Amino acid sequence: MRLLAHIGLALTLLFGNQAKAEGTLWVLSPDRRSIVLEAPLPISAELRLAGAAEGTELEVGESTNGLTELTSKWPLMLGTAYEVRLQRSDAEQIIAIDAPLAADTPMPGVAGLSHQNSVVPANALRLYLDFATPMARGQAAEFVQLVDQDGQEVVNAFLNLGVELWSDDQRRLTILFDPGRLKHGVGPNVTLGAPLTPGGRYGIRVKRGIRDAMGRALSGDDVKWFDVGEAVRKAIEPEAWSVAVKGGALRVSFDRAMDAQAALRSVYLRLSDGRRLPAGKLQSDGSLTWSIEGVDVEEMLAIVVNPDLEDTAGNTICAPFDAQVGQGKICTESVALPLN
Amino acid sequence: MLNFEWKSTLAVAAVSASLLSFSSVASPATEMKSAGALSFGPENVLFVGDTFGGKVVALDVSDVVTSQLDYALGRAETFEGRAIIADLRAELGTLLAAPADQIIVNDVAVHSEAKQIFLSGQRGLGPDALPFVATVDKGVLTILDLPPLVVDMHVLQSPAGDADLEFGQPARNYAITDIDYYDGEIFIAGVSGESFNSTLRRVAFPFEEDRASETQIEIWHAVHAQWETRAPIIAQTIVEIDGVPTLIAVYACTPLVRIPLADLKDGAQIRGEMIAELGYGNSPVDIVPFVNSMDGSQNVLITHTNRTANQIPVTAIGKAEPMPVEVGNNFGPAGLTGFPVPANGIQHLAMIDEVWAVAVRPDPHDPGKLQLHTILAPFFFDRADHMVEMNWPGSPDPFGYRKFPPLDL
Repeated sequence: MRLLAHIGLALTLLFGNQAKAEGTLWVLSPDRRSIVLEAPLPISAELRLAGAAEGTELEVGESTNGLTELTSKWPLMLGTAYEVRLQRSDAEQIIAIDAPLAADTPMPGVAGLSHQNSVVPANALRLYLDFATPMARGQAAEFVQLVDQDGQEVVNAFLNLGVELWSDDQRRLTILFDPGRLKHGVGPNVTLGAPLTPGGRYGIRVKRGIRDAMGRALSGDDVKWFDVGEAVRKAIEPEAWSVAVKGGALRVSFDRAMDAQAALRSVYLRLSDGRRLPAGKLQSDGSLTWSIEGVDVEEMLAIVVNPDLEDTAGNTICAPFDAQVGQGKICTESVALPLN
Repeated sequence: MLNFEWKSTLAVAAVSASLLSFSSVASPATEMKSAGALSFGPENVLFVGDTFGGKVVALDVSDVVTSQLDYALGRAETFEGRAIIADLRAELGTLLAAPADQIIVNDVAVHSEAKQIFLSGQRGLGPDALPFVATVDKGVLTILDLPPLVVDMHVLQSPAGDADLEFGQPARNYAITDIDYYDGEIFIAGVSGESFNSTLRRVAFPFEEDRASETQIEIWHAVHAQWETRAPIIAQTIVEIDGVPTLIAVYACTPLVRIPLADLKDGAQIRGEMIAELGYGNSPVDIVPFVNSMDGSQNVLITHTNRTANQIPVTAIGKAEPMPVEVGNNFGPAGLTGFPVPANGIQHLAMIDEVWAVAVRPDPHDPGKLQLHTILAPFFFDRADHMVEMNWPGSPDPFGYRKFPPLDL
């Protein structure tokens, strides 16, 4: 009650009577569940989407100095227009309310593509598409396409899993090519062929209209391009990697395009005291680097590769993704690449 | 110091945050981060899979269940179900203060004695989405206040980690894919651990931490031509085959597997018997047991994302020979595929009784809308969905539909 009195005083100082004459003042709590209105206590209150015929009841709290607090069970959604309807004994009052996005909220956009402007194998299994803001689920099949260098869509390129492959923050979408089109002799591969051709240039096109989690649409098509090299159908060979120490950093350069997310979680540096240093950063050329400030070169025992590691084409350290019948196997053991 | 903006239609000004303090409001689902798979247990207990929270929550819905026995579900003689709710997302959105396109329905379940429909879902499409569970009372939706209904909770012993799955999807999206209750236990299908093994958890109810067991299941995946341990069960049900309780499970892309419950022992690594490959490029949606009211036979109906539904008799499941393993790719459909049923596009399905099922599906005439609609079993066919010759005035009426007045429910 005392706080509402403070607010009333602030309102009077700020607006005097003019504000009351021109419109109803309101403020929304940071969690977007509570609304304080410069309005007398109503009999009941309802929160509706703007223009809707029905809504959900608001809890009417205390009222003093002409200010009333209303509470919603559900937070107002950012970027959505609402109406608060106050029912009084003699009249109904409608107040427009919204929860605008912060001024510095980035516009929806495509931030980048893993292996953008680099070469990926013709049998690439997955790529990662990064967005500037959290995106809404349920749109990828409609708005994300593979296109050739002329901008023509390559149809049925991606696997229809029935679920979209978003990261926890819904900023990164995994683009999964249909394995059936990549594996030799598999039905879709025989009938449709592989979606990518060596030597070609392709793009991942995100079409205008795809919405972010706040409901805002991408204003125009955005294409992230990449080049395609020969297919890679052999198991990962850590001994083919190059390792260098320079400028306080250890760098591991791969012999092929590695799955970016798998590399970050599956490759670590083992030190002589037993510590494990996870991969620090994925560089634009696809290499992994560790900051080794304070670590003596003699302490670095090995680069350890967990069996989960896969390259862009889905090959593991045990077997190629496109294994012949009876030759495929699931990796269970880590591999160590000694450094000394 | 933070400043909040006071707003009106014509004026905006800033006021010090020190003047403002709002009432503290509990989350409408404080204890849950998501509401996914639903399954009814004994005595009005509804199990809810909370994938993002890594747990199964038991709700006592005794005080919210209302009998729907006098609610007409359609007219079987003319193959006409009814749209219980014509625009499901819009009506949920009204109750949840959200636009229709910000509503996702995750599952549907039916309280068998009251024939009441329960729905789970999420409000919002972003990472801050909130869970909800709703009831349908004679066509009217109610959002449940969940915390007072929570009577028990089982936290998954080894919840999936934050790292990505084989194909990059966050593992926890698959932590719980389906839940079934059978004879004092719940069976939770999904993925566990950093190695993303397909795991079936068997948990006695009421929950006791030391009475949970986990089984790793390995299957021969015909399309991939390899033994697999990481593909999770997407849909499952438990039926008795010649008196032997048996788990029938469907995996993505799309093996059908048979596993006696007796094989599901703590710590066991077992191989499920694949009895059908329902076809590549497809994911199962639901597997629903039902009794065929025409002949009394027990069946399961399997619905899919990209293929026609399969109706398979339980006796045939019991007799089916396992498909060959250690052989080349088989893209199916192959093995025990049953009878094809025209139940496409259904997002969620549950049986109300022997005659009617309820489906969450796109409106056939306005696919932008999601509807809650009854469908006649065992045909899973609604005549109003289709435009055929006999619907025109004056055309032949070979099945005698016109002796019935227009359905007005």
